[in-house]
Amino acid sequence: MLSVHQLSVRFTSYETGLKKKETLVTSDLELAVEKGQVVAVAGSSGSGKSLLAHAILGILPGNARVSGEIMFKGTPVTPKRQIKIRGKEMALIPQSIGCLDPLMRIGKQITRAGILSGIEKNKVRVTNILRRYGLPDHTANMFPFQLSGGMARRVLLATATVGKADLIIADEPIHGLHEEVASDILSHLRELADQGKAILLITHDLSRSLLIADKVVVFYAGTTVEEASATAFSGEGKNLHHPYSRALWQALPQNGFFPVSGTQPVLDHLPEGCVFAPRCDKTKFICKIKRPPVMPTDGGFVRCFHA
Amino acid sequence: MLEGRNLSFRYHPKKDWILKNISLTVSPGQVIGLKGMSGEGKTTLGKIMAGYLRPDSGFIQVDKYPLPKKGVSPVQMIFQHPELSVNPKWRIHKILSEGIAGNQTLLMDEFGLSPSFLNRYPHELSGGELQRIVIGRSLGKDTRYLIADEITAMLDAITQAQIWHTIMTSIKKRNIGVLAISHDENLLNRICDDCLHIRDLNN
Ligand SMILES: Nc1ncnc2c1ncn2[C@@H]1O[C@H](COP(=O)(O)OP(=O)(O)OP(=O)(O)O)[C@@H](O)[C@H]1O
Ligand SMILES: Nc1ncnc2c1ncn2[C@@H]1O[C@H](COP(=O)(O)OP(=O)(O)OP(=O)(O)O)[C@@H](O)[C@H]1O
Ligand code: SF4
Ligand SMILES: [Mg+2]
Ligand SMILES: [Mg+2]
Repeated sequence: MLSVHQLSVRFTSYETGLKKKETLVTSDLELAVEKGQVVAVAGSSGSGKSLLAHAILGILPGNARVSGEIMFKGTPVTPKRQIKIRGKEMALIPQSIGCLDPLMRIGKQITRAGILSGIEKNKVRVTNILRRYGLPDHTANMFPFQLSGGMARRVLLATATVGKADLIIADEPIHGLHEEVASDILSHLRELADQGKAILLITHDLSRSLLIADKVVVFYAGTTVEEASATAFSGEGKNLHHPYSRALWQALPQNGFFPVSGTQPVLDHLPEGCVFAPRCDKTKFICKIKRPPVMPTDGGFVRCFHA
Repeated sequence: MLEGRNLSFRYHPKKDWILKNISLTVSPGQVIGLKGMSGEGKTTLGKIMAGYLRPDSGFIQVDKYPLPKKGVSPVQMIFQHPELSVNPKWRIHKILSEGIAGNQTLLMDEFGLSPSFLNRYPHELSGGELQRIVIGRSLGKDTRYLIADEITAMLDAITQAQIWHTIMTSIKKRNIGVLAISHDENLLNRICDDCLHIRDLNN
């Protein structure tokens, strides 16, 4: 359904004196999701997960430049095609609840999304979809500011799934939701996949996403460091290949709450070799001078010299 | 002690009560967890404790005095969605100067952010990066209590662990009391001295 190969995003900005500056924010992103699959995207905050979503849909700001390859249903995605298919064949559940129109009632926003995706106006079932996400019927008459955080997030889900899109990109869809609603939403996403859609699930809630994901793709500092099967995330993470993936797993509150000292490198000053080298406890000489290439593993691939 | 006494609240006189006769205290240096279902009134209670909303009945006291009407509040609230609590037209250094008088570069370091972000606008940062700016801003020198509403749900596990280790060090050192609202039981178990369910508080 969707594959992304060597995707990079750069931003140009102007500093004082009109000096032009280019910042590379993601490089070498690799990812694929098939019909019927749920692929989770996990990784560090600021590693490029949302930018990836925006690049796929073609909604990056004007000063962004994208290179690399995005294929959707077997053909390359071009800016012209993106305008045609977004909201129809591919839909985004955005991370920011600021994406709701503050001046429009919820019911109208859902109807509008449905129409955009090609459903006839009188066939958009607003009440059904609200109930699907456990929201009371009168939510349709409310404005965004009247919703609790979790209600707003469910409204975003409703606008993206009311239509007929084949690829759904969900950016933090269960962020800030309590257990029951979160598992309900996840099983709904799983159902959509089982019906033949492809789901890209961007989330920090690694442990809950494992309940429905087939594969997990791990991002760090703008790069894909590992693709693993969901089952590799268990126990102490011994079946994971990348040191960052293991550290991420062990930092969960239920798995030890271990922080890793240091911080993700600033993207415009990436280290020359492996992006994780400054924080990795397995660093050898080669890690500091060479970028590790993508290497196949039992469950996917890894970008590490010592995996 | 941050104390809420017999608090009741509804958004409209014709609507149902969201909070009914709730009493709650947070002691200096203590971390109290608050959990509950979505829409049950956790954020509303947080806003009342921080003085953003006035209760229909009941009152708030900070170390035995009412919340000050002007100046920097000793009770700072950090929200679930950082993009809604910053001025989108300000650069980060200006946003930070609202809460922090001292060295901003040092603060960026403490929260694992590059000083080059100081010159950016909020929309030029990722969600998790912006949240760390907002957390840093809330820890100004006059802060005595912190209301933290789902503040690390949008961070990766490693950064979440780092941020909470930073916050915990800072609050223990300065004896700041925290009300931590979260849906993540595992997280609350790690950080809280005591954990409450809003349903049990509501009468
Ligand atoms: N308009 C922009 N100009 C310059 N840099 C940007 C811009 N938008 C995003 N960035 C940078 O690109 C990087 C990736 O951002 P992105 O929003 O994709 O992160 P993310 O992985 O979704 O993080 P989070 O989990 O915190 O949401 C971040 O370091 C961010 O600061
Ligand atoms: N400005 C407002 N006007 C009217 N009703 C509101 C307003 N803000 C919140 N509400 C309602 O008050 C109730 C409690 O909302 P609140 O935001 O406190 O919930 P919460 O427990 O924080 O939920 P969540 O876990 O989803 O963040 C909800 O039913 C919500 O619809
Ligand atoms: S390539 Fe080297 S530095 Fe990078 S993760 Fe692997 S062992 Fe660590
Ligand atoms: Mg994001
Ligand atoms: Mg809330």
